[in-house]
Amino acid sequence: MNRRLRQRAIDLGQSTRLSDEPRGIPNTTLHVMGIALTFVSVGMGLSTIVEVLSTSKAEYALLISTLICGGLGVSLWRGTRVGTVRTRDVFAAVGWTWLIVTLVGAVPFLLAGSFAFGGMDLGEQIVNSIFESASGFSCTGSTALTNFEEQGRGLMMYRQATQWYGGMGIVVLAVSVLPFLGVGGLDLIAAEAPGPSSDRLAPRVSETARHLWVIYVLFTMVVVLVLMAVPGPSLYDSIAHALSTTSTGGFSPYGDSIGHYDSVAVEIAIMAGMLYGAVNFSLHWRAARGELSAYRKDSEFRAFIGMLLVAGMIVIGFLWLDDGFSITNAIRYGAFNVVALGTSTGYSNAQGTTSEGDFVLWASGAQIVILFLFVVGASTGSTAGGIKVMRVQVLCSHTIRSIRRTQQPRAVLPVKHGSRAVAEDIVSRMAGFFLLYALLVAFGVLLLTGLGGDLDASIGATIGALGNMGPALGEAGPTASFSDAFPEPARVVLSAYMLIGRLEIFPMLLMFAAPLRAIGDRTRR
Amino acid sequence: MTKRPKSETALPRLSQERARPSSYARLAVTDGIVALGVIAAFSGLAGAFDDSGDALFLGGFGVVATTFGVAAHRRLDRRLRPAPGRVLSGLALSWLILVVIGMGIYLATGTTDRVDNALVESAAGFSTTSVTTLDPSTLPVPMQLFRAGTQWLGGLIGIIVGVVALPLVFRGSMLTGAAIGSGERLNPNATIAQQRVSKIYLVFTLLMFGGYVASGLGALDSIVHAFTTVSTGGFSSHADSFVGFGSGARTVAVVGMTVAGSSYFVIWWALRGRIAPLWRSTELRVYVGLLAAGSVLVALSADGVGLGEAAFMATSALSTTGYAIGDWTLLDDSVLMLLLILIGTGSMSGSAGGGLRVARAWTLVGFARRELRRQLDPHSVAVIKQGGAAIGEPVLERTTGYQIAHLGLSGLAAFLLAAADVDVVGAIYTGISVLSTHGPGVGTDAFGNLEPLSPLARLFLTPFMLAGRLTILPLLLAVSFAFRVEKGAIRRARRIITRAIRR
Repeated sequence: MNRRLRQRAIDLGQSTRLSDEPRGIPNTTLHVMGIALTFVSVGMGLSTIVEVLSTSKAEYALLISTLICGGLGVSLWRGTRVGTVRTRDVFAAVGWTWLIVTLVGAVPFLLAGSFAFGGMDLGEQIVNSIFESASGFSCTGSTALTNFEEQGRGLMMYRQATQWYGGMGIVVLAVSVLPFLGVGGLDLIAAEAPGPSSDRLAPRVSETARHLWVIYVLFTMVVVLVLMAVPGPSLYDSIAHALSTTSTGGFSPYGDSIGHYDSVAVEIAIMAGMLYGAVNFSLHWRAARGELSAYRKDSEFRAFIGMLLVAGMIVIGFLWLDDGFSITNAIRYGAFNVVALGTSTGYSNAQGTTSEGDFVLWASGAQIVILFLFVVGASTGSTAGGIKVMRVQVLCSHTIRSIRRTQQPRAVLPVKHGSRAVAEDIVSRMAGFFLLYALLVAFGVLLLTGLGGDLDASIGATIGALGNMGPALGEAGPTASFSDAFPEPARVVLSAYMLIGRLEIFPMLLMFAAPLRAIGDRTRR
Repeated sequence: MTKRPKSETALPRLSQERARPSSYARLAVTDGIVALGVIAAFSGLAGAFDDSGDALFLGGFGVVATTFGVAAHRRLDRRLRPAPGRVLSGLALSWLILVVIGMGIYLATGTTDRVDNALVESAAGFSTTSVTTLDPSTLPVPMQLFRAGTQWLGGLIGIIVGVVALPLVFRGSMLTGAAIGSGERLNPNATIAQQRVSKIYLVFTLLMFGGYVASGLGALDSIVHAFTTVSTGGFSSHADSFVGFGSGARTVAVVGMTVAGSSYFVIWWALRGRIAPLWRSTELRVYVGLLAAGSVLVALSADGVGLGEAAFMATSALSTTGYAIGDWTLLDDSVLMLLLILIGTGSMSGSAGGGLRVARAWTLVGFARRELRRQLDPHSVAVIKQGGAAIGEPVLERTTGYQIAHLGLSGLAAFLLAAADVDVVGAIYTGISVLSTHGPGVGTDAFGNLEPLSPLARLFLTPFMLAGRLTILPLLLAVSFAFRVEKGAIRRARRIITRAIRR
């Protein structure tokens, strides 16, 4: 404490002890990053225990990773404190946190040699590890792995856990635990999931975040119990799939995903879990407090279910009439894939590359419907990806208003969602989001094809990465690995797109705004 | 205040004649029929030495159609300010009737014996989309000229929509040429605008004809390609488009396509020697920039393709003409994607081309940047400018609505084509290409041949060609107007029936 401040403290009768001063460098980004890394290291630690108790193939890799991640996290957490919480600081905090967590989260795969086969050089191993980590934390579910059986069970459990962390949001986790981050916490939550509704479940932001995590954890436990009750999955399988179902991530410890079980009962249980995870969590909260009609009253929920029903009927129709499936298989494979992709989970129930569950072999019309589901995604306030149903509703309403305004230029025509009018700045923001999304898709496909990808796989992969879907079209379908379909540089681009999509574009594009402004301010001084 | 007797306030009647019926729709249709009659008569006359059967038919049809159209036109009264919905529904109706008549001509002359092929060929012609169900090299001369003439007429309709009708509907708040300068405008009113546009179009056609002749093409090839270059239509007298032509003809085509894809407002200022407004035009700069960048990127990405060939492909794509100098669908996927972006962006607004239009695309980029900036500072006041003039919020609202409708229709087109057994990439590519009035691509072939597509897929393309030619928001406006008129008619009919029953 300097002499002037010390004198002022004495005059005011305050303590002058150094221990009472706020400790640490004031930097919001590093502080949030430290908390997030600390939490992720807990997941790594638990996975280490699983590894030690099971296959013991990657225990050292996980242990070292835990120490690195935990050490870095605690150092940043304790060594810094919350600084300014302006808008650009919030975006920087969220963007950089996710980026660093993804990079550190790749370390277990790299140290365990998950991709050290077939003469793969170190550079490609690093790229694949980052791809897998990005796919995990962003709940995308695309994979570069091909040798699932050779991986340690603890490492695979860690892989599932990355999606579970990413589903609710690691920043939301930080906000729920630390009241200090309550200041600007709602901005942080909104920045991590900047959808149209950042519903407050409680008056205090940290309580809202905590409620979200309570629902999330309880929901995960229910899915575990349901999967254990169904013949097929073991305890390990149930926990692993519960982590990636509640987060609508889609990872599986098995190369053939849910097709591994070849069980309709398992598929139905998983479908129920995916649907639950793809609905706005505030509706679940209200239902838990006795307001069951909340689902029926919500316009977005009705539109989402309606969309899945219509898409399902169209796809089943194509499979039955065009592809010659039996009616039962058409319903089974059609319904499962529509729900899996409509909720942006990305599970597959195909058994092998020639299976009826492999949608890249389906009629073109069914695949276009699948692509439409890739784009739209699920509900706001859920763990799912895509543009979100509410945005689509508002933008359709905006387009209809544009037409009507041409006929009646002076009419007052608000854009409505359900029975509520949507403010013009929100409509503008959604239109801007949609434009950025379209520009990113065009640029991404151009980039991927320029780096050697096929046009159909590139279109599916770009839209799928931005929407956090998982599988793509063509050579990157549900039974394929992205390491076969795309060269290394393309996988780097896809990793970035996954994070951009998970954070709904703005934070990742604006994360450089704060550091650049800080540099600019210092230069001017 | 005492009311004056009605006789003192009423305007004196100028004539004792009955007032002539007025209808913009009927005017648009009769104008269209007259124009089609002229095209048919010209085709019949010019092709008389080749196939006397077709020439006689076309010539006779031309005379009848022109006579009928002129006679019908004289009975109608022209309102200076029709309602927006009437203007656009009138143009849509005119286009539909022309397509049906064109289909009838193809069937009557035996050019094709399939109704679906005739319909698609006629729609492709009037929408200036370079897709075809015929082998043009086997057609007799009169039919080649008629076919090219339908695109010439379709291009003129497109320019009239962009330069005359839409500014009339949106009362000068459109992006078309409003921001590029003061002085005498191209479109002070609808009549003068239509006359000026028609003159420029005709002179441009003659210049292109002269250019192609000078480059060594024969008379027939020169006429056909002059018609389809100025209209950005893309039909050719050869099944393989420009493959067999030399560099001279290709150079003329590149120049022609570049000008055809430019705004008629820009052409007007250039003709009047006003450089400053041209320099200020953001849209023109972006258009030229896209042409240059597209050419360079295609040359760099495609193996064995020189800069000249790349420039041809990029210009054909951006102007949405659809000419080809080889099977470009066999090129690398990155080149296909690049060309798709150019096709989707399209030409300048107020031109004969299609697509989203450069002005709209650039405005949308500015809008996206503004929203990004607003994330950091929600209270910031950020103005989007083009050509030095600020773009108002109503225009931004309409532009974003247009873009969403455009993407939605592209998706619908892709779904319908996929349902008709076109593969996924082909469906997406062809859907975007047809909606932009370009035509060829993955799914058809590089020369727009629709043979790979099933009859159902070809029929599905027809409404999207209309949507692309009329541009989407006006089409939706026309449809909603027609729907309201129909609803009103149903309501009136129901009222009449209810009254009759009560009596």
